[in-house]
Amino acid sequence: MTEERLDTLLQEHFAPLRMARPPAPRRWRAWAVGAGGIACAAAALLLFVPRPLSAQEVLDLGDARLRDVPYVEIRMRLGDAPFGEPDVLTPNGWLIRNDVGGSGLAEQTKAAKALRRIMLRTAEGEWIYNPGADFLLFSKGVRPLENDQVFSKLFMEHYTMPIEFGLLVTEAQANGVERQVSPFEAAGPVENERIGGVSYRVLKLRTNAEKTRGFRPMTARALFHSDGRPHSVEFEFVNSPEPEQPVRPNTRIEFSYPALPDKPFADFPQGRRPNLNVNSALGGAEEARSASGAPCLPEWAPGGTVLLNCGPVRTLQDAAGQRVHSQAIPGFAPMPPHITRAGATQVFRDDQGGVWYVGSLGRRSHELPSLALLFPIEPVKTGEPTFWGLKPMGPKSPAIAPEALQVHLVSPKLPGHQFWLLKARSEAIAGRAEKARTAADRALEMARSELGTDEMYRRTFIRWRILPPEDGIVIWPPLVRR
Amino acid sequence: MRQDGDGELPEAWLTDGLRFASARLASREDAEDAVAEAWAQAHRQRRRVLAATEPRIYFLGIVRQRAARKARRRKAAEPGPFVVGPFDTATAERMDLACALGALPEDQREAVVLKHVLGCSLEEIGQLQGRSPEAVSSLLQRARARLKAELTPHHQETP
Repeated sequence: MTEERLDTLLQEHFAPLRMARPPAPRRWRAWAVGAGGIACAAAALLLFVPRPLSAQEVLDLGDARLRDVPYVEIRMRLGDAPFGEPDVLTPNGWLIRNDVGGSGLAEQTKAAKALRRIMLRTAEGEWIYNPGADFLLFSKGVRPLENDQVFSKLFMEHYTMPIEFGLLVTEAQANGVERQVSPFEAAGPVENERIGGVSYRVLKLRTNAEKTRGFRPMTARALFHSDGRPHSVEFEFVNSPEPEQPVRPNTRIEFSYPALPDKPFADFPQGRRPNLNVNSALGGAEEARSASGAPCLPEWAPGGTVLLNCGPVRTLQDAAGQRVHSQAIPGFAPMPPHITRAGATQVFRDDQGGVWYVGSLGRRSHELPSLALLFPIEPVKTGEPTFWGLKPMGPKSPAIAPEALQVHLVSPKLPGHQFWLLKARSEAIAGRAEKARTAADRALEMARSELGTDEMYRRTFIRWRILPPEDGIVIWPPLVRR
Repeated sequence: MRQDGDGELPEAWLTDGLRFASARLASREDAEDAVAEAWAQAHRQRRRVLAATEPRIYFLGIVRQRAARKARRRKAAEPGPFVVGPFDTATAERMDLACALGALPEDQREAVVLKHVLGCSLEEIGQLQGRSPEAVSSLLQRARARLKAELTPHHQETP
């Protein structure tokens, strides 16, 4: 065989490959779960459009993977709040994060991450605007004040830098209060609304107040102007797989947002990277209820501290009743040295009767001198998720830049993990602190073994760097992502 | 954080990445996934990517990693490397070529694909594979020799 013949054969053989092109996006599918999912889907519709679409093009939402969209990493596990939902990155660089800043635990990590992206704190303690964030979209549960507090602390009070363009999607969620809002009610558009000194372009999107939990399969249709600007999105509930949470079939919900900028997205200024945070305050919040039924509220404390409170616990006392942890908000009293010592057996009872455990994760690498977990033992009841972690801050915490913070709890919901955790709980209740610690460590190891170290870390645990005792516990370093 | 000097990733890379991944993975879907993941990763690391000597090759390197990961996961189901889509099987010669390509060592197959599908230069292939251009040239020559050896007995050309 001659060289020429071989070349010819190779050319012919590889011809289909040389012709291969990315498929044009036509139908997008995503399961939308809860209002956060809806918002995320809406965001997807808004942002995953690499080209102008005709008004007749139908974008179906239906599958978690958006399989038909090329080159979009979207692995939204909508509704799976405890594990959080990975970021969604669109081909043109939009980043979508769902469940950012909700009152659930998993969301709180995202809130911290989102905060890292949109805000930076200088060494002098000044908050500066992250120029990488042009676009802020999050859906905010119009639920009790605590959420507003969270958001105001997270995004509004401190967020004093002008945003090039922001879109605030607001969910109206009844949280047990029966409200009759039209399924999706455009409360806006409100243009250039000023929130905390920040000028937003705001779309308020209100969801149906009735039963917003559970899967809400729906289709959605997005309409766009001929120049590519989104015009409206219509959602249609298909049915509900959860009979106990009926959703009116074929409820058409829609909103429009003329407040969007009157230019195609492609015309965003050069060098501006949109950062989209879609938040849901629904899923995680519901699951993060404490034994008392109170929502587990994340708190934002000055000094770059993200604090997670599982339940009403605000004050921890050690076994002798000594208060070791002052009223949480704002700020914390320094943790006593014996808490901060890695590996020390620490079982505390809070002033609400909850028993908490401080465990150590041990050394993972030289970069993580030690890790500690503090999780509630007592508040864990059957049927409730297991929460890990609590974040007390040491006196030097204000020096920690917020972008260095990473807080997360994980609720692996793994049988082995649960077993050991429950055992830790029972041991703690029985006063056998050492056994409780051992069991809790075992639970952690179980999570690690079942999830794999990387996955466990990917799903994030609290990683606390235990500084010298006088420095208290500081969250460090940022989440390791692969 | 985005900073001055950050650029956009050329979308043309997507096509290259898809072709490259398609040559490695039997499933078109997997290939698209691999490129999607690579694209996302490249976005995250775009400063590093764009600062690379050969940004496109750097991106292809990411695709390569992602594709390899998918290939490992799909190893059991994978019929064989470099199954190139719905290729024309009209002639035995072409079928033999497909088999011969599949029998090549992976680095040789990759070099052939990079050269004949993406039109990469020896330098670019070498950068991706961590070889010198001379070593790539030698690799390609060995690949071609093996292909010819596989094909020649069955398809002797008429002198």
